Amino acid sequence: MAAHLIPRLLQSIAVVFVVVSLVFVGSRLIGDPIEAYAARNATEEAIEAQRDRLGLLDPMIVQYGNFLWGVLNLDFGDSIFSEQPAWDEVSSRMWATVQLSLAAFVLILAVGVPVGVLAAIRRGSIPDLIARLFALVSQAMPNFWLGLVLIFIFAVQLGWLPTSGKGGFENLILPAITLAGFGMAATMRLTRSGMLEVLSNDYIRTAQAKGLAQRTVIVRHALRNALLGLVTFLGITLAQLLAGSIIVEVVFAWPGVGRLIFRSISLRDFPLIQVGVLLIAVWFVVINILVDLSYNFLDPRIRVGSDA
Amino acid sequence: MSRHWTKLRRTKLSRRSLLSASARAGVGAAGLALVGCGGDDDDDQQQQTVAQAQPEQQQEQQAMQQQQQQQAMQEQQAQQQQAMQQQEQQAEQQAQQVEQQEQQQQEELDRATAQEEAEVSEVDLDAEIIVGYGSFPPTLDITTAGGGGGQGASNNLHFAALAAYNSGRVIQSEGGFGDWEFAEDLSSFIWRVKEGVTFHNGEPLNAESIQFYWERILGRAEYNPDFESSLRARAGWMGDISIVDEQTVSIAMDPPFVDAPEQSGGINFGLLPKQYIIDNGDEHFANNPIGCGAYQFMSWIPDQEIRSQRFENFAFDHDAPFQWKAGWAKYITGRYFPEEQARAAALEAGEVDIAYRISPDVAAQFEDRDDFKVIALPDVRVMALELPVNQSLDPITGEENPWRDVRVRQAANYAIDADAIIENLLTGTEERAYSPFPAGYDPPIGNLPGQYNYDPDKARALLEEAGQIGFAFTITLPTGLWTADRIWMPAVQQMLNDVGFQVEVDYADFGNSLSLIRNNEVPNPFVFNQAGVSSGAPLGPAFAYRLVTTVGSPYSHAQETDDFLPEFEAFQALIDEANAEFDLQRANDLYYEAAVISYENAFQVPLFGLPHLYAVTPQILYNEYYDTSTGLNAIYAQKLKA
Repeated sequence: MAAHLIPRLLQSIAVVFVVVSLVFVGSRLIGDPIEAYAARNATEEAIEAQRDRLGLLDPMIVQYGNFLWGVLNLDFGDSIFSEQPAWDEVSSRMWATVQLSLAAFVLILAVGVPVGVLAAIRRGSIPDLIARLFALVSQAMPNFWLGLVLIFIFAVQLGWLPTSGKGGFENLILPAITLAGFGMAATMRLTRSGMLEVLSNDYIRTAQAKGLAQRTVIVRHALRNALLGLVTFLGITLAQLLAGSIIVEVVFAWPGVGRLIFRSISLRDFPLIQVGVLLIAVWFVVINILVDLSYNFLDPRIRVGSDA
Repeated sequence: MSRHWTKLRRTKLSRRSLLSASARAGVGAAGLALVGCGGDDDDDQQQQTVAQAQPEQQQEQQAMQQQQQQQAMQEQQAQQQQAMQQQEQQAEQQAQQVEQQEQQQQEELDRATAQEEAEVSEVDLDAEIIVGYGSFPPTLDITTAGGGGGQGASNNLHFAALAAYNSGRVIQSEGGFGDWEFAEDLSSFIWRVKEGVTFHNGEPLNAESIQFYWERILGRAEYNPDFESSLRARAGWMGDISIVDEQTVSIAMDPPFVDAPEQSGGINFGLLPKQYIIDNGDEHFANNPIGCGAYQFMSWIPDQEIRSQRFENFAFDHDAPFQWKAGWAKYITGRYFPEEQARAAALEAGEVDIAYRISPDVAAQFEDRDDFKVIALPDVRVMALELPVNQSLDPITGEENPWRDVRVRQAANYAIDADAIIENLLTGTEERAYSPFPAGYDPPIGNLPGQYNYDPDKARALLEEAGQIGFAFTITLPTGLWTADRIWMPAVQQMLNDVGFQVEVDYADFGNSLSLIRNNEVPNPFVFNQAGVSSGAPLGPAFAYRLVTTVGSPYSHAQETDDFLPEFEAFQALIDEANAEFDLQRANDLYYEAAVISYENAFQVPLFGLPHLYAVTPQILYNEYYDTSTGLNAIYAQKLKA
């Protein structure tokens, strides 16, 4: 187990380092932040002084060294615009994004997996057709458009839910559905195809021949095996929910990290961009490690292999 | 209470006056023609003198001929007079029709405003007005870079500045927070603040507080010399700041600085309380702002909501001049909806009363509906195509720069039918621009001879004459900030192509192109919203030309080292002189003189002023408008009782 985990961790640290370096370079390619916020009639001297204060006049290698030292100390400097510590700015919005991502993930699991199983065991039936149609539509629809349609129907026309903003549970419903839309459909399709493949195996027929209840056959024998392929996808989906919530957060005025990064990019607020992207990179890496570890529990063959 | 639209109507150039003038010009021309005929009479007298020495027969024949000629001339004169009278009558009829139309429009406007005025008594003073904004500040300290961007949701409400804008240029105004004057030798600039004014926490506004305020901006305040204010560059002209008496402060100037009033008390210079900041620190202040504005801060959920309450001890009432008016609603809540359609949906769903700054297509959803209305407020700036006239060689081709030829520049002006774009692609409320000044500027630049009204044939002819048919160039359009930019720009491009240009458009990211333009790294024509002046402002251009494409203005092709055209040199000299002129009237005259040069030489292609659009519920009344770039100010919004 440790032999498997340690190289994986080292590899992950290298990945984070590369991502962080790319972010450093990329954020400096998008332009000069001082130009974005200097007063219209600011003198060149004043602009230079502001660049100097932010260390933008140092050689790039010095800036990079300072940046890496800051990363190691979790000190990313202050946001250029709010003048608050960048880490505080991002971390204060992290919970909102995690909340939204988890809600969407729960929806993906709660809808995608059961509907996929149902579609597989009733292959060719009307529920299967409806499920496939739903999957097709959900995957074809861009989430910003889906979000606006949901707002129009449930908030404007029916008045059941608020249009946007963060408040109670009711505020979470529409953004979570919007964010989960693609993932639900993809999960449903993967579950369905995985189940169909597993259901055609001999051991399923054997289990049925032994007289096991259909529920036991489906849940214990078929679904567990079908899930193996799904776990990787769900892991990546969970990571993507966090990173990909930007558009949904903008449409639903959800005060999360995604929207902060979106705004920071347009304002060229380097410290915020760097913290935000670093967090997303770490999140991806952690999820990948967890997915790897989950194989050990789901597939005895992998566990035996790694123990050997 | 002033009403913006009424004001606009009054300051608009009357079409009747134009038509009457043209009719008079027609009469004048005909009169000149008659004088010319009179000249022929003199010739006739000379001919008669010569004729006396000739034989009688010849004399008779000549007399007959003369008679015939005279008759013919008289008939011609009569015809001319008749045509002239007809022309005059037609012009008069046209003028009358226009006057009737204008009267009708004015009556409709009066009826509308009278109705709104009557409803003012129904204003709910305990109401909460919820405004859906498209942008929110990341911090609430008005003097920081992030806080400076929070005008609508925070700054306008919580902070008040020393000076007010009433004519596009900051002036000291009666009944405000104070008044200013330059020392006679121009070595210092003096602010005297009104007595008895307090901040929201009860701290007095006095000389000590405004001295601290500027010292803090400049990084000289002892409590935190490291404080970084985005206003520091603007306040860089300030020398020593000394207290003269309890309410008076003197700022040393070396050299004299003509913009001292604006760059010490203008709209971004919201006043802050000294002791509160020293006691609580900058970070606390940025999250819990205290000012002396019409509303006091209540709460803030970053990126979500800012709540404010009417400041009952505000120094002014509803009838105070300019921006210094007390608020109507008891509470104002700003909510953040970055996505425009979501903002509109929030209005539809009854979650907000005002959807702030929406595009024409979203505004169209609310037009002609009983349950909503659209408010259009004009921007103080004018969209214009800036032409690179100051480079002798085209930086792209390395050949002679075609924009140096006035005919090419005029062709670009004649090519664009701004009226059609306004009518068909925009809302119809935009103002056609003839110069960097908006249409209401007095004296109207539209009075200049030879307006570049749409004339594609003339444009093509000019381009042909200049040998530039097929002249290819790219226009850079910074996108994402200006209303409907991707709608009207293709039309401009097509119109230019129709007369013989070959135009490509670079739809560039706003932030990036802003910095490129600022660094003089956009050698090709670009679109920008230049200038900024109040409608009907008597001293308008003073502010306007600070931003116009001259050396020293931030968004300009012109650089000090450029190879100036002689006409541009004259233009630049006038601008430089005006910028340093302390006498506002004199500065105004200089700006106008410069404007004429700019216009006649077609240094740019002015397009139109884009309005700011807002959708509101019918309960919201909005009668106040001040010509600053802040747009709708929720302080002046009234919510009627249910």
